[in-house]
Amino acid sequence: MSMLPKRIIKETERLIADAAPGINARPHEENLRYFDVDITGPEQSPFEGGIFKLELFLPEEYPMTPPKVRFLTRIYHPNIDKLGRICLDILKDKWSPALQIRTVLLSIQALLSAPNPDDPLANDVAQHWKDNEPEAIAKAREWTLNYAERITPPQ
Amino acid sequence: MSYPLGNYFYNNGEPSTLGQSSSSQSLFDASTADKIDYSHPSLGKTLINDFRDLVGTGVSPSVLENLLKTSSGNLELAVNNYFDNKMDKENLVNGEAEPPRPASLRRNLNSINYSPDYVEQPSSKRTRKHSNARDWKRKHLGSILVNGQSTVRSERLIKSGDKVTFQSQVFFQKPSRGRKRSRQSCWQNTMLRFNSVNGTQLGIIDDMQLTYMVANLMDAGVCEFEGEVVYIGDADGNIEINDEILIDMKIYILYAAFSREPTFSLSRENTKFIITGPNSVAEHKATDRKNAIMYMFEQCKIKAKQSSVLTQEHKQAGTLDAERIQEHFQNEEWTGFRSASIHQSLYNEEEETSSNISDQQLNALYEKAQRLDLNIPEAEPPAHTFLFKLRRYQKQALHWMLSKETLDPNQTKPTSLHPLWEEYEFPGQADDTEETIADDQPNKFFYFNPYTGELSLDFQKVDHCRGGILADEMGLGKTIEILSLIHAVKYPTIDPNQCDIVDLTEDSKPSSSKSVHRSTSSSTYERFPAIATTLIVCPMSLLSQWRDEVKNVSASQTLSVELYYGKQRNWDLKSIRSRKAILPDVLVTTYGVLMSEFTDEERKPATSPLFNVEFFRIVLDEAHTIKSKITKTAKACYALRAERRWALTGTPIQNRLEDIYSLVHFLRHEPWSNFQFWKKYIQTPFDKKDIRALGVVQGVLEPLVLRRTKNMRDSNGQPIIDLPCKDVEIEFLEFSPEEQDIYDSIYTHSKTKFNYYCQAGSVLSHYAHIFQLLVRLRQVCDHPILAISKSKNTVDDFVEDGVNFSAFDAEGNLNIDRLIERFMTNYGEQDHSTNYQLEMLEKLKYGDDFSNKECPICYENLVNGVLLPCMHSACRQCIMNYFQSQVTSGKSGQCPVCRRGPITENDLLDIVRKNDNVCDNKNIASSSSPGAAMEFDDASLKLSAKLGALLRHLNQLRQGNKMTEKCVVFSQFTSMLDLVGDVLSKENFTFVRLDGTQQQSEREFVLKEFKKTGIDIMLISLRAGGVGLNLTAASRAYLMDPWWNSSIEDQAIDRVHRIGQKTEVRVIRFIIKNSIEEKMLSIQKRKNAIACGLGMSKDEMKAQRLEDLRELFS
Repeated sequence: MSMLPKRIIKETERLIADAAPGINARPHEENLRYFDVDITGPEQSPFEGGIFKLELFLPEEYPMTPPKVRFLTRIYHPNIDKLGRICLDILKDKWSPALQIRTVLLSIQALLSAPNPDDPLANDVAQHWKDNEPEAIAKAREWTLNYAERITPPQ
Repeated sequence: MSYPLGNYFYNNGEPSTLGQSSSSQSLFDASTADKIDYSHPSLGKTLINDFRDLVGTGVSPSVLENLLKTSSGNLELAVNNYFDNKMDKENLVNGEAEPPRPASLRRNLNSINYSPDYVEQPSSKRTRKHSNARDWKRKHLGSILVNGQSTVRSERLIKSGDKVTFQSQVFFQKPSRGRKRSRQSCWQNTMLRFNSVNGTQLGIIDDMQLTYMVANLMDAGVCEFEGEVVYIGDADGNIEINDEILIDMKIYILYAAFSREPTFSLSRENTKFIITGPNSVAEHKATDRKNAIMYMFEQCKIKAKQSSVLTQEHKQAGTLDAERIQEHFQNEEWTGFRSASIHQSLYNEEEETSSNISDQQLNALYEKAQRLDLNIPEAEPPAHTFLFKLRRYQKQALHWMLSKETLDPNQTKPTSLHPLWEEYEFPGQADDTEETIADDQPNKFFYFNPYTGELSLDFQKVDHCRGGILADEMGLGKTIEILSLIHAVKYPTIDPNQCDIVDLTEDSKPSSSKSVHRSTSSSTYERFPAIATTLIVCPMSLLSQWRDEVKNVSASQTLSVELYYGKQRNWDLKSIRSRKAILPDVLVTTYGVLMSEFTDEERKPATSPLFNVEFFRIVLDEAHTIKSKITKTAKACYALRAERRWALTGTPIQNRLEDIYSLVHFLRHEPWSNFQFWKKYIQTPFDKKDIRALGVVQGVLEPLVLRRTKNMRDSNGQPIIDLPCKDVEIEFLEFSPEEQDIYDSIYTHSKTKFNYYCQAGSVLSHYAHIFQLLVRLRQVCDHPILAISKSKNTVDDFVEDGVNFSAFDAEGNLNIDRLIERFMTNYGEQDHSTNYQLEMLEKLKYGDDFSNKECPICYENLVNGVLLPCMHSACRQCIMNYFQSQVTSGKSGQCPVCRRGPITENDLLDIVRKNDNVCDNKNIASSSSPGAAMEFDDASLKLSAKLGALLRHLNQLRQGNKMTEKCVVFSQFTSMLDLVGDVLSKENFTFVRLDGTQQQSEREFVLKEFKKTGIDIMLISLRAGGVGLNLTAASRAYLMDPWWNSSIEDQAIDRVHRIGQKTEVRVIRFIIKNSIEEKMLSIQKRKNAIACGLGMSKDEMKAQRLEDLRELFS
């Protein structure tokens, strides 16, 4: 593997030094392009109270190509499929090299707050969301409780 | 308590000569001495009885007689002499050396003094030879009887006559909290011990003042002290603790005290100022030393033989002690005369530290000088060489200057003492057996400066101040006045040959150049007299004007003039020395040249011609240039050599009283040129708001300053000058709707920022930034384009930054205009991004940030940075890679940050960092070259409200065939002048331009051109044209934009409305309605009102500033 570009080093430093709230990303020691990510479920969302694990990989062409990101924790979300793949425009055709790991993760966090069933990846979930949103939300909550690592709710 | 018993010695204190040499005026005059003893006046009888009471009855009559004779009827003296000198031993009866003493000694000594005045011996004729015979180590100054207390109990440890030594000891070291210690605590902290010769501690001297004196003098190496026990309570030598021991303390002044320059001193010739805070350690020590010396003199009853009246007054008033002064002034009720500030230059970049001075105060300061100036007689310059016809007041000025250059005969005595110094005579040496000191013996006298505490053996000569401050108001013709002086006195009246001979003999040495070097490397390097040369130092812009004026007023071949500037430095030190170079009568140079030569001179002494020549006369034009005494320029001016010194300035005090100190120092006007002195008697009282300080300053300035104002009237009630009237008119203009939009947007943006700072309470700390915002707003008032464009023409801007932004279009041509145009056409459509773009354009304009701007793609600082149309930037390589990847995925290029697109390579604008600073001055100066960037189609360059108004005025003039009236157009923005220039050339007006970027030669050319017919208009930058220039060829002035301070504008107007103006002057100030300019106007007005009223304190001023800013953004 070629030398790590300065951009990645800088990004990593900034991520660690100045972490975004609710987002925690650490590079693997043996592969600095591979990150373990924890995203805290946003408040007021069905994912509140959960901590979701993700993996993030910076391909060789980064930043000309977007990073690859996947949920490791199971999640009931219309834009995230069973394998944890995420449907988000900036991770695909709307990628721009001016974006970065932080903005990507913030976008994902935002996606948790605002699911978009009109642009689904997991068709069944999206359908559920459209048909009966309260029920879908309840299910998402249940999944969060079951799968996402729990945090003690604040008293 | 101690008993300053007074003079133990007297002037020629040799016992053997007592009777003969004494010529006292007292009762016991030598002629009547025989009759006194037992029968003569009752006073004498009383004296003798008292003496016997004190000393015992065993004194023989002859001894007594002698004593009384020599002590001039002063019992104290007599007693002292008796004990101290043991008198003439033959006359003393054996065993009487240690007579029993009554316990009431103290009281008696204190109360008995029959001769109220110490009678001074008539001083013998003084000769002041500075002999090198300094083979002495110390000299006896006098003795004091001090009262010690034993701290030991012993038997037979000491007896009368034993020597003791003194030792000061700090016994209680307080942790010093501040640097300032009170005098009181000094005394308490120190203890004076006396020990026997073999080192045994005997006791202490329980007297705080004496301890303070002795400790300080010993520490400072000024004096040595020796003691001798004269009395102990028990004749057997048994002492108890707390027993009283009387000691005769002999004071010797050390030779070293004279040779050592106290480090704190401000030597008069010294150009290196030591500026220390009032409480700095060094200064504190100096004060201690000074006070100790003064106290010692007082104790020893040494009086100055010669001392200035002023010093005596100060001594009497006790004001020589700074602390006392301060306390004094602090208690003083403050009335009316407030030291505060003229709330001046609110937006001046420069922060004034000390309190400013108000106009009212200034008027008061000048008042006295002005009142007297009306009645000066007139003097005529030599008509055959001086061609200009002087006005009446100018002749008065000439007379005044002539009288200032001619020394007052009272001062011409070479022996007159420097007013700050006092002369003292070494007293005779009481314990010395040397014969009487002959009159011509070296080191008979010594000198003491009671202000600084300096001691010296050399006679302190006064530096005569020949010259003064010519402070006539602007436009009264200071130049002409000084030129008339140069014509009137071209050569020194003394025989110049003398100097020549000295110099020639020096030169005749074969190895002349080498000897120069050697002789100059020593501290006393010599100066070469430029015996008939007047050196004129002026700001660069006035250089040629001076030369021209000299030529204009002088009949041909009567006065030679040369410039000393740039490459025109025709002579060097060597050629002057060897007399190869002929020095001109008048040499004109600039402050800049002076300063750079001074720097060189400091590094490599004796190289600069300016500083190694003794000029005949020095004239500083616009002398307020050196108002700050710590600047290098000021120091350079101080270092110049000439006996005749003149300072020309219309504003001797610009902001602070201290401004004028620098001039006084340059003029060497003693004693005020001593900063300590100045500070103590003028600055400090003034700052403490002492009403009397005003009187002192007036007194100082009155003989030194000649100031007349334009509206002064002569003794006949006629105005001293009459200029054609001037008509200043403000023309209010309104923005076009487009301009209004742009202005509003920028205004809102600025206001938001300001409010933010307001809320954060950090307005004053973001002053610079707010200032920038304000500048931009003001530029918009001139023309919106000024605020957003980085014109290539504003060369001074990018020379400063070293950054130039060029825009490549497809042909590779520079085209930042396109960028601006594009921006202008898009304006209003894409509102959300406008602010960012504006900001970036702003940054471009100020060369801001781009050097460390990060590429959004590689996160490195920009490498070959490019600017996208949306004003985002990136490395060229990075953005091209990105475009490449976009294209391969079938998309078109877009901005990585804002996705605006499509963008192709051709849309990228390179950011070029310009390091070589090469810029084409020629083009800029004429501003008409086709390559200049600021070129617009008729369509694209819309006239702003102001440009339109100006054009309207000029066209009216042209149509009315009034183009005989020349016009001056002022603006403070060179970019505005660019625009005006473009418009004027389009309209076929002929014009020239003068701004700060031009070299001197260019300026000269421009000024000359403007005087020719055919050139009708001059564009001039407000700041460059503010000083000195003479633009009387014009009779109309247009001020495109207001300045914060109306006085700057007035100054600009006065360039046109000054002596020589023959027609009525019309001035038009353009102001945009409902804009920041109108608010500036009201602030201007209020400022003037404030300046005339009472001053303000610093806090008030701060509040006012904030208030002003609020008003601007209201």
